Amino acid sequence: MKKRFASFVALALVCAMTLAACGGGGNAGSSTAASTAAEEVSEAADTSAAETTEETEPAAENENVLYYIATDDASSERVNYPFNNRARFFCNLLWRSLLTTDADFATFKGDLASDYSVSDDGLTYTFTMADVKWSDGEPVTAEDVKFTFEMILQLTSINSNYANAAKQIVGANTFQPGGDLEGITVDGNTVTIQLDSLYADFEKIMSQIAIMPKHVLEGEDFTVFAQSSFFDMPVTNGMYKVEEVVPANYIIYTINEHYEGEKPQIEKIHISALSDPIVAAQGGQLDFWNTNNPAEIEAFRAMDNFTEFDINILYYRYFVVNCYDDDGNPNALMDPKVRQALVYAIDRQALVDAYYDGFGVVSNSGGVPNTPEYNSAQSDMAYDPDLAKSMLEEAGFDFSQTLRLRYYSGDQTTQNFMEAIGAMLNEIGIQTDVMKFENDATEELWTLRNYELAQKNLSAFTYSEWYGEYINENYAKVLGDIDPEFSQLITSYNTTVDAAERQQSFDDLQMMEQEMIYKLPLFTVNQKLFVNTDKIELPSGIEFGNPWYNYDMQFESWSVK
Amino acid sequence: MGKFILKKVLMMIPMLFIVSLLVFFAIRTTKADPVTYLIPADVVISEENMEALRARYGLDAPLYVQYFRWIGNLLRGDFGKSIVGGTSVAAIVARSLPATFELAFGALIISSVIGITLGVLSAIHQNGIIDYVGRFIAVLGTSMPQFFFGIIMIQIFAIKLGWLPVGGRTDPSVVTFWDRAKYLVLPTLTMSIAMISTLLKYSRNSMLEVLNRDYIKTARMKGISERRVYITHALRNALRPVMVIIIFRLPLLIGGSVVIESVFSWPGISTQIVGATTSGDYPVIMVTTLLIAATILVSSVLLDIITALLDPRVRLGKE
Repeated sequence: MKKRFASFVALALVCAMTLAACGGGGNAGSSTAASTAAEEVSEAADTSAAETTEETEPAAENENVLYYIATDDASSERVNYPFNNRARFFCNLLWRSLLTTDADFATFKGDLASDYSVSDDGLTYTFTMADVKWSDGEPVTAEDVKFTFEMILQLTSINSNYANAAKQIVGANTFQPGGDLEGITVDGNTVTIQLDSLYADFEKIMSQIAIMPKHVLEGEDFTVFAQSSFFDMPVTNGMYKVEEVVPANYIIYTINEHYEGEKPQIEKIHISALSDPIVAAQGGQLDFWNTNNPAEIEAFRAMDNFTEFDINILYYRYFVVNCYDDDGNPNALMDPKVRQALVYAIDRQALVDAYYDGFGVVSNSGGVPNTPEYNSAQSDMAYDPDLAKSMLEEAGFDFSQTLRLRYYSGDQTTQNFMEAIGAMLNEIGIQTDVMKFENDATEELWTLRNYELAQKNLSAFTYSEWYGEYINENYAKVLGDIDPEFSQLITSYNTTVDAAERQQSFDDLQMMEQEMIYKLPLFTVNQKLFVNTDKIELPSGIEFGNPWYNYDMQFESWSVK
Repeated sequence: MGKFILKKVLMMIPMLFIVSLLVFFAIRTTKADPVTYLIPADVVISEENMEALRARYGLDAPLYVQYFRWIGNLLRGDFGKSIVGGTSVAAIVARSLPATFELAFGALIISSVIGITLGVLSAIHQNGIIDYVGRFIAVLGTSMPQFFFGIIMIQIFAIKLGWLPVGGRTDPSVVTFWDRAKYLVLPTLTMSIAMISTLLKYSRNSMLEVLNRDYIKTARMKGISERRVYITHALRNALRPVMVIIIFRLPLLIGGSVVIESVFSWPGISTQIVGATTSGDYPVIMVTTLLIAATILVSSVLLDIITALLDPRVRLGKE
């Protein structure tokens, strides 16, 4: 009996050990038979990992590594697609643009371009390429730049800033895949970009568009580039390259040996697939995190090893106004007076105080109060429910109808303030139905459009991005034809290069926007950045910029203590 | 026996076909357009480009054509590609299904060893300290939500003590068995707790019932040692219904690991399904759902066979 019992225990232990050891992740040699078998199973199972994984040395304790996390499936499966935005700092470390900028996104200098010039009429940009190599050792050429812009014109999923800038290039509107983009000419290591019309933010956009390798991507189907296998193990031109990808587990960056600039001091970036940043930070798996989520901010503030940094960015929270009913007929919101009344009916300051105390600012237009560009002549549209009610009555608003308020952010704060907004509207007699979108936000917002007010967020790179929304196809579906004078002001703002004239356009835009309320403004929210300064030594005086965009973070000067 | 198994396996074919129909049409007849999931809300895309994307993924064909194309590809071993990441669904399944199996089998072994041992000891020492402890664990395991238990485990063992990782399945430093095992400890223990409670209660009750049977009294009267009575005569018979419970729980563990996988960021099949659902990745949703259904069907067939083997009163293949 003892023998049988011992056999049973031994069998159970072997089973447990084998099961425990099986599965993905084993990399280097193993020290037990069980783990050897497990690695074989792992190799057979993790085919995609095997395809994209290089042999690496096992990491030691206290190594020179910065930890970060990928909280969503797309980011943990492979390297982020950089053409919707530069997608947080870990994308910026892999790819570079023609230009780079400081954290204020106002001063520019060459990055992949060693030098650049702009013609007197502002329509011709000439870039001289620096002596830079891709992570596979091939040179980064002027042809890569032309290839990238031709690619951008074919992408179906693309940041509107990039698309708008690319459309200004001569020949862009008639460009066909496989053709030659007339407005970009290459002469040796010089690339010249000719614009059809002035585009004030062109340099800004040149500091954002990641240049891609023509020698790797030629022949790629760019309609589905976001799903391309290129991002499994991409060729890069930044200070880091991708060393290892174990999908849904981790991604490792290591220093790009072909990077010609000052080498970074941090040897590796470890990006784990962990969904909760707070738990990850507490468990030592996260050294750097930006957020505007009040619950996360509170939790990070409670961790002594993290230091908080403020980042002022254009992060708008607002309502998209749908001026049409489900049958496509204009509804009450087509009247600007009704839209203005709704602004007066919502106590936006109370919402900021309750949910974003210290980092939210009530906004009345695209201009953000307390910034130099803000037109202080505009009204603050402070909470006034009586005025709101009388304006609605004046406009003949039918109080028996129900306004459908929708939102897509799943966080508790959004849910809370949406419920609060519903209650505020109820107070002046408006019936509301507050609900989270059931389907994908893009489809609900622009295709189904079963709402009157839909809460949306925009992390705008520039004011042009906020105003650019008014003149795109999506907003035309919910707003109809906007006032031609307003469109003209937007065009004028986008194409005016002179600073004083541009500010005048912006002042006029803000005033007219407040009158029309094509989007119902709520507030802007700044970002908080938390860095584990017990571990990471930052360069003194470092300034952080919008985390969704590319700027010089002086990452080469960051080090592990 | 062979006939019995063959009959069960053949019965699975029409069932899988029906499941595939249900899965496909349930997912594809919702009003959601999978292509819009690929486009962020801030991105403007022309209708022409939308049509190009739909054509690229074969979504412009009638639904029945899409179904037969999908099922035909499945039968040829082509599971398709994720429309979100572009990764082959076969690779996603090959990576995530073993992770879920690992968790499920680990939990099954831990819960079986602990649950049965405690249940048997509780029955032997009825109304003693071990019995009270066992009953307390049983109540705890039944009443405490798994996610809450998981969070407590993370707080204590990963964050406060720093003994174990907060989540995930592996890292680049994994070399030895123990490196690898540390990732399994918390999720399997958390997943085990409810099942320990179930098995503890079943094995205790079953053992108590058997211990009161006449043949046990006879064995004792014959002067057989208590240990032999418990192990040879009582335990063997008491474990039959418990074994059925264990096998019956396996498909539930595989299909129901979503909470554990989410709390511990475990890259299993449930995480894949949840992620694919929120991102509208219909090729992944369809294949993974079908696979889980197939796993549950296979487990049910296994359950029938093992039940028949354990209980001679069940006549295999006979009415």
